[in-house]
Amino acid sequence: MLKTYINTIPYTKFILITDSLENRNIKLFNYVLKQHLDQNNKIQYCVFEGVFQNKVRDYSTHVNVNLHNFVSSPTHGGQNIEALEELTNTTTSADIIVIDSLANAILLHGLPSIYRILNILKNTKTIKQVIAVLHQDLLLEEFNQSVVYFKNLSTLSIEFQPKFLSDLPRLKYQYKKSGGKTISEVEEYRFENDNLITNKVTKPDPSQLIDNSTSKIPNPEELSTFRIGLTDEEKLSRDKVILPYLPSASEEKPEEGGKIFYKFDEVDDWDEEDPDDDLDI
Amino acid sequence: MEKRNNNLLPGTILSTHNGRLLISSGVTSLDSLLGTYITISLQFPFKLGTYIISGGGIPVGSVVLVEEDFRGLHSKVLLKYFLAEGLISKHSVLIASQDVNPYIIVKELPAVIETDPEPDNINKGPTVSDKMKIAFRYQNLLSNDDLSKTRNIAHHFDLSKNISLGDIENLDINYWTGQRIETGLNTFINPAYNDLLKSIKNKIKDGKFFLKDNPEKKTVLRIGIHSLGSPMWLPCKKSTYSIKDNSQDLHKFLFCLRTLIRSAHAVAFVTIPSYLYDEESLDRCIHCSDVAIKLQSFSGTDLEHNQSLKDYQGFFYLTKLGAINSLISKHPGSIEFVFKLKRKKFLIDVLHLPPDIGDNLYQRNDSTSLSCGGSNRRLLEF
Repeated sequence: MLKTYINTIPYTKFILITDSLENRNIKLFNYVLKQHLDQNNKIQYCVFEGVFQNKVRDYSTHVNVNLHNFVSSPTHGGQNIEALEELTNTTTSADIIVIDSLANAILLHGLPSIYRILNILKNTKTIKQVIAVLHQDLLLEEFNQSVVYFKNLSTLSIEFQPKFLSDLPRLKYQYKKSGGKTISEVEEYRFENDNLITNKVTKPDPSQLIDNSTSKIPNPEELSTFRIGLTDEEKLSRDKVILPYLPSASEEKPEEGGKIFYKFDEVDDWDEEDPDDDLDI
Repeated sequence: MEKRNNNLLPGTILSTHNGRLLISSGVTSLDSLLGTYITISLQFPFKLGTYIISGGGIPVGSVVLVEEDFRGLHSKVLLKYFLAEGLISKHSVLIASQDVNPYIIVKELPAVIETDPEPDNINKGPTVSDKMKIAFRYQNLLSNDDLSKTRNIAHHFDLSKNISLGDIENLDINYWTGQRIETGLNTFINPAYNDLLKSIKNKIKDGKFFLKDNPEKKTVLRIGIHSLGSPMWLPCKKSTYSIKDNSQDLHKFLFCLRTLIRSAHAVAFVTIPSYLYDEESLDRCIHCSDVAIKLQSFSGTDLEHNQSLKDYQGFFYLTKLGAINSLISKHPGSIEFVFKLKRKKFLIDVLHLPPDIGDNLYQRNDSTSLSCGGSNRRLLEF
């Protein structure tokens, strides 16, 4: 269950949420954030997209959220990318780092530097968790590979998927346990009063499907336009008929003592010798 | 012979096959896989066909390339064994990594212990005196038991304990983190490769590891490079290069490294996140190495649920085993190998598939006993 993996303490080190314009849900991101706000964890929120002032307004009531402006240029009150790296030195033991758009950060500062910083953030012991959102379709073709890099770096990678034969949207996630085990699942999700509910999408077992499809022996009655079967009544009356050749207890035994009389023809030449003499009978 | 042995470098043995100096990889099962040579001596009239088995290892002067498994966990364990064995044998060690701090790798090295931490429960099969009557040709095959008896230089390590830092305080350990890179004219797109190559060259020069050098105390330099060519090795900070452009640097680096290592008392153990590269660039990397190993873990794949593989963590492929000083290289044949990471020990084993009786479905649902007359009789009825 995705919910348990998000909330397990100690927190998984790096959550990567990959979305696109078609498949996105800001609720999941907000849900992960809310879990930390409920736990009174200190959040370092690095804003890379949208209007910084709006974010300030949104989180004005939360004391634990520390907003960093990476949207505006340094001349307009924004911060340099180096400030993100410096977070490793300024953070205390309970800090959560949030990056709201990795794609914007990559486009602004280049893939190598962003990857390097995230690797450092992930390896810093004082940081409890790094949460990053990656808008896949914002990246140009040459950066497409970077999704693989970040997925590889992440310990919990969540990807939105379109609906399929159901009203509920899906998400695919890969959770890497610290022991070395990897769990990959596809789940359907919905939100009920800000609460995440996921259901596992069960994969049908191919061998069972084959069994089910082949075990049915076609009924010949359905194939024919004639009525070739019998009703129960007909079957009963059929059973009542006594067939002449069947032995039955009530039947009288035939009289014994039958004998064959052989009458010679006029030209019959009776041979006294046994014709089967040469046989070993 | 005795006299010659005394002249050997510490922690090395001489290959009976091609006269190369061999060092241990730290994993006994890997050493025997890399080169267990059998010499049959005919001592007529006393004895006919005596086996002399010499334990194998990595030839000094070679580059070992390890293709990492999906999360790189097991390849890191192999690297740790390699480095720990080096420190125990009093070799000089150089550790390079950009992904993790090399100092942490050293801190997490396994501790050396006297005996095998988790010996295998080998069912003692028929002893040598039991002669095979039908499959007599198999009589001469070496069993795993025989291989473990070979003269090995590898030590035993306990993965659950870390090496005590006091023991390695005075040893020659060098770190390369790639933090202070000089930018200047060089042949690589990413100056980090150039810098590492320079560091290795300087170390070999300063430590007098070149074959022509004749220092007072000869030893071997072990170079461990962790996750070479990972996204951390992408060139300069603001560039738009992707790994694809970067792979050119990787080939060039391995090519230069091999030349450098061949002329020195050194061995390089390089792990590469191969899942980030295409097959073509990987082939080039393998071409530039002497020994190539590939780890493929089952974790997160369908193989994880396979009943016959449940005791193991992944496939172990010996992709390349270079023929050094020899025209023929040892080839492991068509045997498949698997690896297992126990709590205290890393092990490479030959994969023995169970007899293919019945459908997999039955095996999955109720663990079928494969002996005749088991509870599931219908499987054997026909």
